[in-house]
Amino acid sequence: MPKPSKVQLFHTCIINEVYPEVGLAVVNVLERLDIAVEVPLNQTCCGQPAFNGGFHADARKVARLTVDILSATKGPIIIPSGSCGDMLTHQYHMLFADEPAYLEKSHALSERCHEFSMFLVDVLGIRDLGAHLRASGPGVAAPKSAYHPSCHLLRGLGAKSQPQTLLAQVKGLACAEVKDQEECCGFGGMFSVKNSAISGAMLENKMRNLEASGAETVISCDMGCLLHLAGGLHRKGSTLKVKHLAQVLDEGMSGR
Amino acid sequence: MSHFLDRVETALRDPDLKTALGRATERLGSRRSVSLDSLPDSDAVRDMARRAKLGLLRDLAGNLETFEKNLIKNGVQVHWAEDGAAANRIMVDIAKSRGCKRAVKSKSMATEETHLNHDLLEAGLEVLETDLGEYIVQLAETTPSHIILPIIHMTKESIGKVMHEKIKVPYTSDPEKLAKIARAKLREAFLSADLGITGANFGVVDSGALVLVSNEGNARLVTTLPRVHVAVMGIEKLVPSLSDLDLMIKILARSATGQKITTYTSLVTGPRREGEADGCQEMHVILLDNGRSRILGGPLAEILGCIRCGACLNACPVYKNVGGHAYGDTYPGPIGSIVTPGLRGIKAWKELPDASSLCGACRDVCPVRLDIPRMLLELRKQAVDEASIPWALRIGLWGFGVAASRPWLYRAGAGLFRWASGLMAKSGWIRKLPGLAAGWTRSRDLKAPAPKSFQELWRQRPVRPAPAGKEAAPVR
Amino acid sequence: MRQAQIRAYLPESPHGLPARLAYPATVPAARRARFLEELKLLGVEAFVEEDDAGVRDRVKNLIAGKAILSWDPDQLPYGAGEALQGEAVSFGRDPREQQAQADIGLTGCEAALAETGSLAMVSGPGRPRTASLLPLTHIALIRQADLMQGMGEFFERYRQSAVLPYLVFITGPSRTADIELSLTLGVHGPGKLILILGP
Repeated sequence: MPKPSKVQLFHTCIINEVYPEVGLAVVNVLERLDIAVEVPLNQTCCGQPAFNGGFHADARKVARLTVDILSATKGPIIIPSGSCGDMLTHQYHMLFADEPAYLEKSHALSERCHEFSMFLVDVLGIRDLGAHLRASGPGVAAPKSAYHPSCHLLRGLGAKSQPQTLLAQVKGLACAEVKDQEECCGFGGMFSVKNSAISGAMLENKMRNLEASGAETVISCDMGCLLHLAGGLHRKGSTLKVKHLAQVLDEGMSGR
Repeated sequence: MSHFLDRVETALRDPDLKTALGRATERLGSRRSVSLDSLPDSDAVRDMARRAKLGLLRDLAGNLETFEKNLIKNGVQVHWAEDGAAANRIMVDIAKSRGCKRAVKSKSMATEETHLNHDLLEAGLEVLETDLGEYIVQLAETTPSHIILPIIHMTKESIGKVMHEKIKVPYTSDPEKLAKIARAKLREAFLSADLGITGANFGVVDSGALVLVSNEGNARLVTTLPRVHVAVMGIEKLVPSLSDLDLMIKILARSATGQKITTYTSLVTGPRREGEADGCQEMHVILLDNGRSRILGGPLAEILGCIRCGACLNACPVYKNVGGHAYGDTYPGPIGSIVTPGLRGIKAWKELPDASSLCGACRDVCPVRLDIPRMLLELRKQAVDEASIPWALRIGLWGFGVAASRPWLYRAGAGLFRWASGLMAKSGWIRKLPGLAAGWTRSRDLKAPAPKSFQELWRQRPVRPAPAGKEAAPVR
Repeated sequence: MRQAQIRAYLPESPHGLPARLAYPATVPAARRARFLEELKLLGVEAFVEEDDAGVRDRVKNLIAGKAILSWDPDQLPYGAGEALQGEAVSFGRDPREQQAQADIGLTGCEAALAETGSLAMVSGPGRPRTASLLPLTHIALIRQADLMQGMGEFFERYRQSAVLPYLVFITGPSRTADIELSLTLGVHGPGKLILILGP
């Protein structure tokens, strides 16, 4: 695909309500690459909470709205979240199995959907964004960061290396090694509420491994996982911070 | 079972369980990946194995008839059991009419499913499990907690204690000594047993062979020494031909234990033939349905392609934390969360499909690429459609559906939530949520919504000059 | 109708898969090297002998003074039955309790599989299954010509046959890891496997 001059942003509900700064970081990175960003009005949520809960009829209502809004636009759709990306590309067909019109639209849509890091690496062919994080003082070693591969990005969309490829090129950023890195953090949407005991145990394991890695920041491409991790870390009183990949790239590109 | 969450709490409070499980699954997981990757063309082999299993299921009835014909040609007597009770009845009848008194069993999940031991004991037979793990399970009067490692939940100390108490041997926690004690005890039983009971890992349609794999050799003893051998086999365990069996053997042990092949792979093809000095004199196969044919015509049909390697258990972060018993029935782990509601109905088992974060690790490791997360989602839908779901959840998600499909209402709802969480939050964090959402704040805080949503910030953003030579941006 | 419903839920596999696995031809030397390598990984003791007499001497050495449960002498390759003379031997037709007392089982085999280090044992008259099962040590003789690449090639032999014999693939000594995943050998079957690869 030739480099598009304009993309659509599906900002996801968590970013919209809780982490708007992540949405702005995504826009900043894309605009620095001379790509104009449009934000389709009236978008709400991909419908995943209801879908994962088994409430297909409710999820379908939300999915129809999302399909309608996004289908009215043109060009690539950027989704800064592995799980919402997976929902739009792989799960809508299950919801629309008996609705041929929407099934067809959602198939067309899935062709246009790109998760943020996959768009940069696979579509634009970028590895190095020239990002550079300043040291906090002269002679201070670069703080370590841990990458957390969100399950739906890793296994649902199959992004095994794209985020790490981009991170590896950020100067002034050291990557920490994390035990059982690819294991789920225990979020799973409604799972964290309905099965909070198991989810909490998984979160414990994940936080223990992240803290043992010596990282100061956890970087991921999914604010679902990060909302979950941030909540656990805050409860624990940990100093570990969470950041979306876009925030790290934006910061590095702005030379702050 | 409505006590799923209680069992989870119990499991999570058991420090021994956590240690035993953590150690075992970690070692298994790392060994498995080395071994499946070591298979040349592993992707093609997995695809071909999947094709063989699913293709066979597409005409399961026809394949079963051919298999039956070939079994009979090999001198095997075939019985059909619609459910577990029927299978057990057939087994008891065979035992009684042949004057069998003492049965030795090699590990079989199908007979766990039908609770065969209970019915045999009731009928006055002596039954002894001979797989080391199953033997200890039987002594401890519990149930296996893993498809291939029945006592993965026990420490060697607790095993030593069980053997000391139940068979009056001096206490030891040395695995080698414990195994030696079991060998001696079970050898006596093998030599005096007149009935051998097995399951089947595979049934080869075109040659009428039952395939049994074991590392210990007990399956060989069970099919060689007693004069009567009865195998109980789920109707889905067929593979079309010997070349398909080759595929299955290539992936089974690699996925299960990280071996290239199990120590013993037996193809049992009927009673002993003329001139042979050993082997059973009479062989029976009980083909068990027990709900499988109901699964076949529905969206979970794919699960019948499972070859019971247990890889999804070892990869599952939920299983690793709670162990097998929390799942409440014969088959634990991700596979159990589908098989149990599939075989027994969603109504009584609606909690199982929820016991997953849908992380997809199970799908990644499955050697026949079963889409386990898809089937879990399917079952969650069935639960909502057919089972009783807490009304608050139902209304909550109905409300979500109504609001999130109407942007103005959604914005209003988000605004309301922003206001409410402002009341609940302290310096940007909520430490306690009410009602259903309380689960979240049990082990984590919730970051309160930002003062302004992304869309609000976006609308307030100064319009930037268009990049050179491009149309104006951003457009709203 | 029902058939259509069943098929609707069982997706077809992607096209382009081969009908069956290809079994590439390998040369005997490569098979032998691979076989011996696998045996090492399995902890199997292996002896390679140049001629028949070498096999017989090796057997004699290994079984001297022990109680043996053997295949019938005429079923053993290399005239290895000779080595049984003067030893305490039982056969498949003897009482089972007597067979169970043996220290060593002595057998041939139908084939051996290089890629897994397995023995293929086919049941038949004069070839009791107990010999490779009851004693704590199992000694098997393998003819160079019976060394095949893998299970698939072995099954090719039986593809057209009317009746498949009872057969077992034996790969290494009997083992269990049921107790805390710690490996224990010889839990039911032989804890020691010795292979003699003859000419």
